[in-house]
Amino acid sequence: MTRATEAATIFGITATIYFALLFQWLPVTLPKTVQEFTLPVLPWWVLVSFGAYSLGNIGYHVLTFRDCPEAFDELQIQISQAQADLRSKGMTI
Amino acid sequence: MASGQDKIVGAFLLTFSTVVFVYYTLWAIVMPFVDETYFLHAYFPPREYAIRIPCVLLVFGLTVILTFLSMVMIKSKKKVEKKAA
Repeated sequence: MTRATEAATIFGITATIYFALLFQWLPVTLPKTVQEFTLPVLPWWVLVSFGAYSLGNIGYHVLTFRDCPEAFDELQIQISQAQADLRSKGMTI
Repeated sequence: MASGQDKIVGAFLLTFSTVVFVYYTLWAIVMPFVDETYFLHAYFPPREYAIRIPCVLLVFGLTVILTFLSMVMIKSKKKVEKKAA
């Protein structure tokens, strides 16, 4: 099963259970508050949570982004080496 | 480490998203089960707005994005027509 098929299957099963509970197709009685308010608000809660998670993930990675000074120094040395090498072969840099 | 200003932006995004998540979860999931006379209810708007606000934001956001997309598509089509003419 491909990733897309797997994701679609999980989404389909979740959606079926959700609508079955929402439209009361099953002989299950949920508490009144849950049926009246919690179920309708769940998709919006998932959307808000996903948005908050995405934003927080971006913020966290911006906050902890490492500048890698060692890689910077190494790169500078390599650049000057390459320049010296090319100049010795006649290029003007 | 990222520059000072980047760190502030990152920290702000992180705290803002956490606050939004906690507040919305309390509002939409927890408050309906809390006794109506509890003091916390004063800090939350009426419950219907927990559905209306994300709905409005979604419609507004989609409108902005799709309008931008359509303008870009129209502009690129005009460029193709101008080049062909």
